[in-house]
Amino acid sequence: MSDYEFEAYLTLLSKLLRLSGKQREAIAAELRDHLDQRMTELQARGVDRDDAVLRALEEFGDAAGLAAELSQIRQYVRRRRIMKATLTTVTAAAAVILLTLALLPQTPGLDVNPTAIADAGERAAPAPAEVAEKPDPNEQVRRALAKRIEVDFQGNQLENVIVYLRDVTGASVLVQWPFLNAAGVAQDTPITMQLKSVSARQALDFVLEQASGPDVELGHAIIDGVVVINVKDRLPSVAERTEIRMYNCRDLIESTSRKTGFGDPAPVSERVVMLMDLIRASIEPDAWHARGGLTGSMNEYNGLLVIRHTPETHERIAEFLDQLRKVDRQPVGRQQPPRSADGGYDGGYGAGMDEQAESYGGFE
Amino acid sequence: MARKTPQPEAINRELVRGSVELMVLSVLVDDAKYGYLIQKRVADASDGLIQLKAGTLYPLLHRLEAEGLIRAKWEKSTGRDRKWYELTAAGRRRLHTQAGQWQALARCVEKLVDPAVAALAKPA
Repeated sequence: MSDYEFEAYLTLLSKLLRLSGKQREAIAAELRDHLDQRMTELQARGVDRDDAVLRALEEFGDAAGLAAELSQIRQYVRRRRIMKATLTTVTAAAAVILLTLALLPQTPGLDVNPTAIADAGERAAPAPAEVAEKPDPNEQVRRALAKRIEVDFQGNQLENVIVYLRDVTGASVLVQWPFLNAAGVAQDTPITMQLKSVSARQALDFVLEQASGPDVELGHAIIDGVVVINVKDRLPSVAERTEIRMYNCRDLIESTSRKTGFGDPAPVSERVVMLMDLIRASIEPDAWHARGGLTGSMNEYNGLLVIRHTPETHERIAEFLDQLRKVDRQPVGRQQPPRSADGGYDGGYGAGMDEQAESYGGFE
Repeated sequence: MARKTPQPEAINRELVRGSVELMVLSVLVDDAKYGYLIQKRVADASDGLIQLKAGTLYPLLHRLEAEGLIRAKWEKSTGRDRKWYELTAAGRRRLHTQAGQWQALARCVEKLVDPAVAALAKPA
């Protein structure tokens, strides 16, 4: 039976590895080498071959668990590569667009160039989709985690609790167990929790809070469409989650110049600076490089704002610009003040808005 | 100063868990090694008390490789391909940091445990 069992184990493990053929072969070769050496050693000590095989395999432990761990690590590496590649692609796309714009013949004023950038006046959809032309995987996960669920854990093991959350949301979840284990958080940490109609995200945070120890804090981050669970210190920092999005703000800059009720129109360059300052002052004022912060940066080219920030802040910027456009198009005297004191503009402006927007149309 | 305590038959897994990465990085400090050899070195150093399971060791090695703390190369050895691991510069830095932390922890535990063991030895 000996060699047969040996091969059977490796075959089983290979099958369980959710990896490409080449990676599978490499892992199988490495483990086979280990098993061989262990067997040779045991036999040298007088253990008979069949027993040696059994012992070596026993020491190796459960093939499914090992395969799952190795697959997870490889897939994590792959996702990180994809993430890096995507960022590079987006940056390259941005460079190409800027270069194209720079080469286009300049026309007086601020005309709209046909680009892949969100057209002014329309509710800005998530910008990466416009630049990279693919759905934002993180947005899909955010929606999955927003799903309301019911939980009833009675001392269930953390590992199973996370599998449950994964199954009910359909989100991809990666737990970086080696780091959790190193921090003293085991797979069998008991979780007890009963909640009715809670968002999956909130449930996950509660679970991670309960599993955290006095000196270790667990957290999650959404990375390239995957919910990654790890010790908080090990999760990518905010700075690593920033991404570049572009906003076509020519309409805002232009319409400002058309206002005649407020003295002479300022030169374009000044209006651009005013708009940038307004954004910085209104959204995450402390996070911008220009204001001494560490996270966000903003540059302008020909009426396009090129902004690097976290996905969450991008959402707020898009919404803010959207509101700015709506108010900008209302006849003077009908502007409504922002509802909240923290600068967050709220929706819900009066009827007739759409009509206004339409009659204004694509500005000339 | 070490006090007399019975030689343990095994070490609690939880106690070992937090130090496995540091042990593996330490074993790799002077030259490249393959998985089996790393496992043996740890077993020898612990008088056989710590037997790193393949299910622990290989995922750890692959993770350290993914993090760029060690690098691997395949070499033929006695007619068979063997995967050798060695520390990278980042791995050396990690080892240095972790070793410092571990030594501080060990000093602290020793300071607390030694008098406790002495107290236990006294008749109640």
